[in-house]
Amino acid sequence: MGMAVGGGGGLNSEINVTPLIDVVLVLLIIFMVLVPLSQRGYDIEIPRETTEVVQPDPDHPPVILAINAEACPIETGLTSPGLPPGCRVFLNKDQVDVTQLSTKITEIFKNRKSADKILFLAAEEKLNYERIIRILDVAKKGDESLKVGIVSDERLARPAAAGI
Amino acid sequence: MQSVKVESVRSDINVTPLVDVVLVLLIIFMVVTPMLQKGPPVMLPKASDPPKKAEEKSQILIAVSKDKGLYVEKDPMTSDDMFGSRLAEEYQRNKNATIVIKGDARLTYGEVKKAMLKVKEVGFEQVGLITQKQDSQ
Repeated sequence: MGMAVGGGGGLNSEINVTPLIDVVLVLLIIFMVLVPLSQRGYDIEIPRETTEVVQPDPDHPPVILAINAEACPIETGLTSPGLPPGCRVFLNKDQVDVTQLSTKITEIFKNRKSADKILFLAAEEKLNYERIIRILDVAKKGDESLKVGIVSDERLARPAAAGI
Repeated sequence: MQSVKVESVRSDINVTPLVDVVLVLLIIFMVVTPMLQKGPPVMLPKASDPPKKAEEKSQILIAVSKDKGLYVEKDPMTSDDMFGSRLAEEYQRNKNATIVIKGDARLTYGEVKKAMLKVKEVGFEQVGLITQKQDSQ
């Protein structure tokens, strides 16, 4: 129809959406990149069995974190976050309260080279998996570069009974 | 300056549909990201601040569900032998593949350990235990 409007500076009545698109596209890209990274977890070393005898280093003996039901009753699943009060675990022969675990771990591993920073986990099989992960989480707080290995022999979970 | 417009031609692109599509995609990603989980549904154990693990192309997912069922990727394993042979097959294909285990929080440690030992038996040297970050309260 040609409703001729006088140009005169050309008043633009539309909203400028370009900055909005910029922001939204960047957000979209951020989310797309984050999706594959959303997995979290712990690495566990399970070294292959070798027949060669490894001489234990006298300065850096292996550290076994033993968790058993007598000292830490965590057979059932969780109802509340955190760990039950009075839960004690063993670091080699020493009984440690779970709240003290991370400081103890820091103490033991602070002078070790990263190759020696391995904590062996020996837990009783009847214990609840999530609670074990929680304890592992506490132990990891003591040393960021700590590696965790698993012990297949369940008897080591009870240091007193196993006589070590 | 009197410009005579006859059905004035607009020279800029109409971006409104683009904005619509992009916004919808954005909302979908925002909603889907927190509840994204591969494989069978498993209630992951919660830890206070588990380290982030980048998902790799060569990653093999093992899941242990609440009823102690084993899964490799999405396939349910009906027996321990089947699980073992499937893992051996994967090991032959790629010896350096990363294994991640998603164990249900309600399981006992023994059930998850059994899966870990099987993985070790086949020859892999490292597994990752997948967890979830505890929501702050």
